[in-house]
Amino acid sequence: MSTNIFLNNSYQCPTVLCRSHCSLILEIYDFVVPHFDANCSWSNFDVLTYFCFCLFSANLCNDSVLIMSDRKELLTNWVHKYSDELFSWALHKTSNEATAEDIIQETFVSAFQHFDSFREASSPKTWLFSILKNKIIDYYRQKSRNVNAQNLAIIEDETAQWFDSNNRWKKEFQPEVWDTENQNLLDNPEFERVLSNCIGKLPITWSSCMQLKYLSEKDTADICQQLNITASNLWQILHRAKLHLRNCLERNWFKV
Amino acid sequence: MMRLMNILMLSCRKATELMERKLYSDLGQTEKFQLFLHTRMCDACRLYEKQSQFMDSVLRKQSATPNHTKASLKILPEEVKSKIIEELDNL
Repeated sequence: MSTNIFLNNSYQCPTVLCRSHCSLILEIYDFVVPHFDANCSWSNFDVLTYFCFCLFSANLCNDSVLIMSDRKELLTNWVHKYSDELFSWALHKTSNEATAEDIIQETFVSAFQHFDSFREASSPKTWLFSILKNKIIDYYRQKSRNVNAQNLAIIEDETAQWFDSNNRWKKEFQPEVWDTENQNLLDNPEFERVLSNCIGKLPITWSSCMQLKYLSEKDTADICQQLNITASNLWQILHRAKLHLRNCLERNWFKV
Repeated sequence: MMRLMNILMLSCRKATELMERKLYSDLGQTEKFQLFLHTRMCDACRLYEKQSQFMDSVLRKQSATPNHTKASLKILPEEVKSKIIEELDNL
């Protein structure tokens, strides 16, 4: 079987090999994939090593048919291997366990349905994360559907209270010095938790806009179009969200 | 004089809004100048600008695909995993 791959004169990607009943192959798979470039041709990979790999896998799998028939098994393996990491990120981004669980489920279903688009050159993890990211963007896009002038007006009142009649900071809401230098806040789980809480306290349409802005890396015009709002509305939302976030972080982290 | 001041001087509220826009897009010349003047004179807004940039970097980092350390890794409950696998089987 392994020799066939060579005789065919088409060196196939490891995914073809990789469907197998042996989880061990999956381990090897992770090792082999980086040696192929985007077109699945050889790159810096020793043909002999590959040949050994083929023999090895064919043997291990009792010469089972080396076609990609069993993506379910592969995906099942990925569930075991990557779902915790995917879940952590989804939870982090949505701050809601039930939502995160649903999104992970959708991610795997979607992975199954679009398995053909899995570029062998990218690692399964990267691929799954890109699907997950799109799912989260969809989630927030739905959430922020009902942004409208009315919504904006309601919330206007709240940040307005932090400024006096001349729109200067009121004393009690004025920014105070933050100590961001001495602690490595970006890697502090405690800080992340406070941050997530603060984001969670924002009106859902605002936090959705904010998440969309940072997640989708699209320019403002695109996001406005998606949400059907004007650019100045988006700036207003982002501005107010930032004001709230700042206030919340100051009260719950920096001034504690 | 007051009127001139009003044109030149932004309110803190307006200034913080301009800072937000400045993070992602270019401001006009007038706006840039107004903001420059304002931050020179207003301690609170100078602090705000720093904090806004800090929050921006945190949010950016948060949105990048993560590299979880053991500490931050949350475990997806087993029953959910089985549910997903079951669902995959049924497809």
